[in-house]
Amino acid sequence: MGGPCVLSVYTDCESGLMDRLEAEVRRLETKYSRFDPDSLLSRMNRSAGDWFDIDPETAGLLDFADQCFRESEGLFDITTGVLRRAWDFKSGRLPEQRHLNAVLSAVGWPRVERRGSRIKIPTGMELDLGGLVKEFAADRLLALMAEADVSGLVNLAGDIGVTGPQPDGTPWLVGISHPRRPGQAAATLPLSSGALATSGDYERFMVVNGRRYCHILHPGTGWPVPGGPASVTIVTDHCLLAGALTTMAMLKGKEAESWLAGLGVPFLLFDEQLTVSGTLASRSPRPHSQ
Amino acid sequence: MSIKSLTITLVALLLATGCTTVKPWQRGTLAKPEMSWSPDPLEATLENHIYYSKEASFGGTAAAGGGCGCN
Amino acid sequence: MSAVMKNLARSALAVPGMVSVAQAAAPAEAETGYRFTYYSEDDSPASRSDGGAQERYKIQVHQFYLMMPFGDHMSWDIETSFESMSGASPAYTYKDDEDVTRVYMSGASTERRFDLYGSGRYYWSEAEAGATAGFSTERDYTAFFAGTDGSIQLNEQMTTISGGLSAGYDILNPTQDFSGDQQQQANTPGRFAAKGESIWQVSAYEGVGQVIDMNTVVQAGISVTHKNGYLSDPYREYAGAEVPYDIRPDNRTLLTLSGGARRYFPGPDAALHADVRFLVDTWDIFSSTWEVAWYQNYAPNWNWFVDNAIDFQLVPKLRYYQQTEAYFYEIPDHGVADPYYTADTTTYYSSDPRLSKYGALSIGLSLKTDFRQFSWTIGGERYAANPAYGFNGDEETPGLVSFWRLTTGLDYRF
Repeated sequence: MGGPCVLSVYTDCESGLMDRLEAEVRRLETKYSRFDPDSLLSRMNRSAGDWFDIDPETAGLLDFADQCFRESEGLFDITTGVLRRAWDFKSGRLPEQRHLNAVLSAVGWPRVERRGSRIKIPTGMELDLGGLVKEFAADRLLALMAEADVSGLVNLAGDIGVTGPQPDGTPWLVGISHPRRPGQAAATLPLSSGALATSGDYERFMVVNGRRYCHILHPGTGWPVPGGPASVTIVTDHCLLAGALTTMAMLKGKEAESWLAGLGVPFLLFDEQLTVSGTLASRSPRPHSQ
Repeated sequence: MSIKSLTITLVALLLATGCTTVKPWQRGTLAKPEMSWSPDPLEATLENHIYYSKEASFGGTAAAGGGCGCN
Repeated sequence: MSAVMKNLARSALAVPGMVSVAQAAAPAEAETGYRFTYYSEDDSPASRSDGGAQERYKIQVHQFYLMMPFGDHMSWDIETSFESMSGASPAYTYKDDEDVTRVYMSGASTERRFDLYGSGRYYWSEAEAGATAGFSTERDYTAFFAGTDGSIQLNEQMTTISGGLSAGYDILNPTQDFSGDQQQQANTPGRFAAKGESIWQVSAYEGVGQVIDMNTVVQAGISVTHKNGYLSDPYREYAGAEVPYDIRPDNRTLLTLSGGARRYFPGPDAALHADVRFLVDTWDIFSSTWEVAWYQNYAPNWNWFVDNAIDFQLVPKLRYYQQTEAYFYEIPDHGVADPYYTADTTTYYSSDPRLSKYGALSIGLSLKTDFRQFSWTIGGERYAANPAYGFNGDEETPGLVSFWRLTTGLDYRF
């Protein structure tokens, strides 16, 4: 799944729950892996140009992606994975606009056709569920833990959810990464229910001529959105939703803060100057200064 | 069609239990509103009411409903 | 929460497996709905009328429904309806001196009916229970009803066992004649006999549902109902006979067996409903009811439709009903000295066409249009009852009903 994963579960080892949780993560990884040519996602992308039958789980995720596309006025687009062909963050070189334009012609979720449980991806395009599956996996683990009636916390590389408060009734304490100091917590949030996701310009980026270019790319321009937050943390009921919202907020650029305030969702935002804002800022312990 | 054959269906149903398991995440379809036993509550109430007042039969559902002096 | 958040949250929850199946299945959002129905019965043929009103019932029904979640594990709802009806209904049927069967229709009247039901439900992880109570009131009839029901899921939630118990108490007040008792008895003997009478009813239901595969679920159920009290129809009377013209046993026990199936077809994005019910009772009535419906979804892929979450559902329905006659069903022959006009209330007779041997066919079509959180429904039904549909070629049973119905309404989820 990429990134460190932590499960904190109050259970006895005999229950077999841990095996079930691990199996569920592997099932989703196998099904939606971009790298495994036999994964459902790879087969679906290979069938571009033809109708392809999808199962209810995939259909549900695509329906959610579709809802995100609509509610974000097209910012959240699962066809933007092809931009990776133009962007190489390890190279330290910006893509050529000509190359980018060519790749951009293969971006556009509305061109993907859906009919009941079938999908038709236009030739040359591909879907990337990377922005959804890790979050969905976290939610699935929480659902399985709730079914087994155990209390626990799931952390899949920053997508964090809890089944409820800790058994002693106290909330879990979740550290929020500092956007400029890797491995250091900028804030600690108490979490008694629901999920938390963080998205930032520090996950994958390059600095060219003193400017920072992060991996969250605008589906219209193919470029990162200038003036966007350094990082956004959102608390809501499910990781899937929290994760999608942080991505959308990153793409809102300078309007991220007002957009999040309008949604009425608890959030914590570091802007480019690392100024903290958001409804969670006042409730959490003060961010470490300096 | 006799009552006996329906009873057999019932028994067969109980025996079929456990043959296949539909995993929870495969249940999206069954949760669709059009798959419920009574998708439109007001329509069901009205139908039951009309047929109750025009036919000699009624009942057979969990929500039996009340009477009326309908002619 | 903003509308955007609500839409996104609803969409996230719709992904299969997002929520633990063991979590309480309490409804997540509130729903309210309104329906208006216009119902019109075909007129009674003049050739068979003996001079009474011929225009049969025209009914207008207003229905209202509200369901609200209450905390994480509960919900409550109310359902109410208001009817205003005018028209005549068959008061008695007889064979005249020439052995022609004739129907006397009672005078046209305008009536109103109001009912109100409230219920609460509690949801556990694999079970739920509910209780309902309500009443129905008319000028001449008041009915009270209370019931409780529950269900539990077993076998990895593949099997659902459900059950219900209900009771009803009805009070009849059919006479508006404020003259002396003797005069009332002479003028309207049927209504006078029913004055202040009541009916008790108890009913029990037991059912089992089974998930067959990803797209199929079936259920079977059995119910027993017992009625006790004044079950005769007070409005069936023959002025001048000075005895009620409809005398039925004072109790009736009914047994039903029912089965149903729902199957989803992913290709056409449609669901098939099939239901059957068999009924036997202590009045020697055996009936069967067969229903099929097809729920066809259609979601246009055009931008404006997609942006506003517009989709359509077209539902054609077909229903067939057939029953045998009650053992005391009889069309009295006025041409002969009739043994039935006696004050002996243990000799049962009724010429109510609803107790005859007949069948009925109904076809319906409705269209539901979803627009964001709204759903607009419009539908119609044609129902026709006929002795021939019930394989009764031997006798006439005039007075059976045929009707048209048009229903439209709006639902809103919030």
